[in-house]
Amino acid sequence: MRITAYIKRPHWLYLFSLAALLIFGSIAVFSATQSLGVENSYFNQHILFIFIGVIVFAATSISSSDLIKSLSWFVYGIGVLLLLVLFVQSKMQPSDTPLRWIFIGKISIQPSEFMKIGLILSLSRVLSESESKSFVLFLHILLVTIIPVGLIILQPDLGTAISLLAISLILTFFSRVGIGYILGFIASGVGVLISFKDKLFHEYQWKRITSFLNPELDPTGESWSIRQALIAIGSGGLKGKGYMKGTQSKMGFLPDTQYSDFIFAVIGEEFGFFGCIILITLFGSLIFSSVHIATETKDSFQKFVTLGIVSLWTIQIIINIGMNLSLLPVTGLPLPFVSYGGSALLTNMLAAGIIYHVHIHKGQIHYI
Amino acid sequence: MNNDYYVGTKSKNDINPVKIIVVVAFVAVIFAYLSIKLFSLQVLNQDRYISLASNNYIRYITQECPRGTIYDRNGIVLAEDVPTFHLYAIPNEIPEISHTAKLIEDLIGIDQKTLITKIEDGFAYAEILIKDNLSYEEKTRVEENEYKLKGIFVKEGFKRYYPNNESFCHSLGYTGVITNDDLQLDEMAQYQPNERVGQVGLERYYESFLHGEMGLVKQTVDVLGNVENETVEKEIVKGNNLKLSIDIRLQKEAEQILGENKGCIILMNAKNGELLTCASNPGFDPNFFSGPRPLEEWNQLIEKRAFFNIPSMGQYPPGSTFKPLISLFGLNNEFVTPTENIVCEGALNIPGMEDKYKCWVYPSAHGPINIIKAIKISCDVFFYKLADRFEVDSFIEFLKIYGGISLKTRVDLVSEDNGFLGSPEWKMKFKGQPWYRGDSMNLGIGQGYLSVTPLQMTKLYGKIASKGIAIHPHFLAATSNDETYFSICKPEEYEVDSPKISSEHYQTVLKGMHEATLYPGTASGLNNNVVTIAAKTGTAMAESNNSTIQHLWIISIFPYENPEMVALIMFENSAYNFAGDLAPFLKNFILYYYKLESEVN
Repeated sequence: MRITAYIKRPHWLYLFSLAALLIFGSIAVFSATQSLGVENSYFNQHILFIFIGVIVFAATSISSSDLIKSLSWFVYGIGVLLLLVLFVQSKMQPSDTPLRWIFIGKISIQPSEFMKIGLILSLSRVLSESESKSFVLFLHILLVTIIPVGLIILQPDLGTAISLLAISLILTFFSRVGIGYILGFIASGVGVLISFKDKLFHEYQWKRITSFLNPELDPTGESWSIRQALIAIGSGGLKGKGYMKGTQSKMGFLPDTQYSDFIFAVIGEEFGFFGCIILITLFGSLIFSSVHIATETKDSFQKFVTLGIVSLWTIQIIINIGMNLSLLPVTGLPLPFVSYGGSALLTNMLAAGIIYHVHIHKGQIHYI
Repeated sequence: MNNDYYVGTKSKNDINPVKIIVVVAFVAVIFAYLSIKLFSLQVLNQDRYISLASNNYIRYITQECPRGTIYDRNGIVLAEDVPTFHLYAIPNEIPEISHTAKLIEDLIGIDQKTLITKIEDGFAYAEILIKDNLSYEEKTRVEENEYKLKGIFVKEGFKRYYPNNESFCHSLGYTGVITNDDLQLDEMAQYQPNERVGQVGLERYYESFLHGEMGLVKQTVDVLGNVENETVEKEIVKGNNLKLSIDIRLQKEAEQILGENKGCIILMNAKNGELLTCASNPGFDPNFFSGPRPLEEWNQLIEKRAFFNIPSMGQYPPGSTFKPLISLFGLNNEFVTPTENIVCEGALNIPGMEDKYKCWVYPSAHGPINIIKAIKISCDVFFYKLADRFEVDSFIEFLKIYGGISLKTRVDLVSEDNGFLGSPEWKMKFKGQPWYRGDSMNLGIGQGYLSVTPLQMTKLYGKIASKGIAIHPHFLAATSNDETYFSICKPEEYEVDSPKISSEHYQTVLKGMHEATLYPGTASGLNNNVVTIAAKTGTAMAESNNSTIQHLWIISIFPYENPEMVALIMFENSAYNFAGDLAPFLKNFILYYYKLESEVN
């Protein structure tokens, strides 16, 4: 079995980055959820999900070489189906807050997380297998993308929708489709957004965008949380206030989602500039090692999948940190591997498993 | 195994490695930018954010200090602090000011627009007093809605309580929240914007003694305002107690004697200047200022001039009560001798002046009388003629320097008027006329270009009673610091230039005043078998709204043989005919004083 040879030759940097991020995340989640009560079920759940995530990672990475590829459209289809279920649910029980979860008994699933993997896999298949001309290929990609993105916008979950769209565009960039199509699409997309903003956006979404652009207009609302995150990070200084000693996070000044969307602020406050740089370096080495894996494989599908996943992570990292630093609007995207959140963590561990699967299987390519 | 191998894709769809390099480089640039941004935030600007973060969770709460208690001479409480509740706001912690203001208006009826202005004008992190002295119902209503009123809180404080209500209100004064003008004063520079300070009267005069020092507590609070931890930065220091010379029993008796009459009664110890009574009517209940202060009630008080302290602020012609002072000047400068008889023809016989200068007994007359008799029966013609002999400048100088006329008594009150004394220079400057003989003659009977406050007259009579020693009228007996009393009140030695008058002249004047209390003296209503009294009445005429009104005075010194006390009664714009009608009132008061004295012995 040649596969064992590759398991025995692990990609140390990739594994180390992943493990270090998970540990860093657990430490931060423990601190961020301390103020929520003595019975800290969040942390225990987080650890449980890491545990399950590691199993998912292992199972995915050692799964047979064509299993993932063959399941691509199935995963995509399940994702779209779940989004449709969510859409129907939200129509049946209208509420002010966006519906993003499907509850099956005690288990809650976030279909949009699942959809990310499905989209990357199916796009990778289209891009690696298509024989069509660029224009047809681009339309194909658009069709595959627009279905889930549209359903997610309807939830509405702007952050995820934008990140899915971005992944799609990045993968298109990597493909033989000319860059002109991409730029044209972006230009027309922005035009549509602005001219139909009333129909496309919920009021609170537009408010987020405008409050970000103009924080003075809204001192106590949305930008209050952005400001408090900034204060938390800035007041951390060089070395931080010390673990569990953050005043912003412990006294409740950070938004309620300090253990997910604003976990970076907690880290910035308690571990300071050093802590932030260590975190960014770990993300950097995860991205670098993943790209390294992508360049080592000869298989286009594997390349597209790997680069798609890395793009997904990178977009989430940049959007999340940018939001914490008041550079980007609040979008509700978690920090991969670090933030609390079962669905996101399992999805990312699955994705990490797929990349490691590529690493393990990269030599096993057979050209017809 | 075959399924370990799978079919590779065509090279047509391969990824150009340059594109990967471009994207990785782009990501690297973004990461570098984020790191630089972090460096700027956490290293270059950390101080700013550290202070912003501490402003978030550190809150300084001031704690009101109890003011010192004010006692009368027998230790009876005149003013004390009692616990109450105030409503405060911290602007920074209020999520939506308009919403909160609306709710507060619904709860305790404060106009929301005023409230919004108040909150928006305040410092973001400092407490702002919204309403002091909440009623029990208001406090309950606010506390029931506490969860809806983030940034608004009820805090324990103190309010001033005056157990004797209207009694002694004018001199005692009252307290209130410090005004913006007061905050500019040097002596109040360290005060917080919400502090209670004495506004008028003794509360104001002894503000720094009574005040104490606010406590300061540093609180660590979470975003909901829950206090996690607190440390005392500055302990509360209670204000010093004051002990006054006032005897509240005498004060109340005096107020009862005044009844509905506008006027005042003063009782002063002529040996040391201690004021035992200083009653003024009409008055007000100083507790009014520790309550909700309804506008209607306020307007009523203003209307009846309730805040006007007649003893220190009322200015009246002294009338015949001026005659002992005229006598002293005449005797001392040998314009008259104790035995010289001057004839009272009922009116002055100087040509052209007959109509104007009549004696009060006109068309009757007193005939030839000496100065003692003239004081006894308060002959006007005698004093017209005496004053006509005076050299104007030295006369006016004497009234000022010896008599303290137009000079403040420096009583320990913040509001005191000078009174008025004309002079040839003044008359020329403001009336464009020379000083006529008649002007001096008018001064001779306490009329004309002259007005005095009752306290000035009390002080003057104190000086006569003590035979020339300057008496400084005052309320303070002692202040306490940890129950140790010490005197801070020293008579002002500003009357060093006062002319010396020989003792026999005082005897002469006092004899005349004593005679006045015996039949047929003008103050014979004072006659009693408890104490011998020397007194002078005065029925002073004044113009008010083009009609003539009269103010009635009796000022007494007792015991006649060995003067100890000065008692004064003055009715403003009185319906009584003649000052002698007030003698029974004053007698009752003096007898009450002796009744209390005998109880001690």
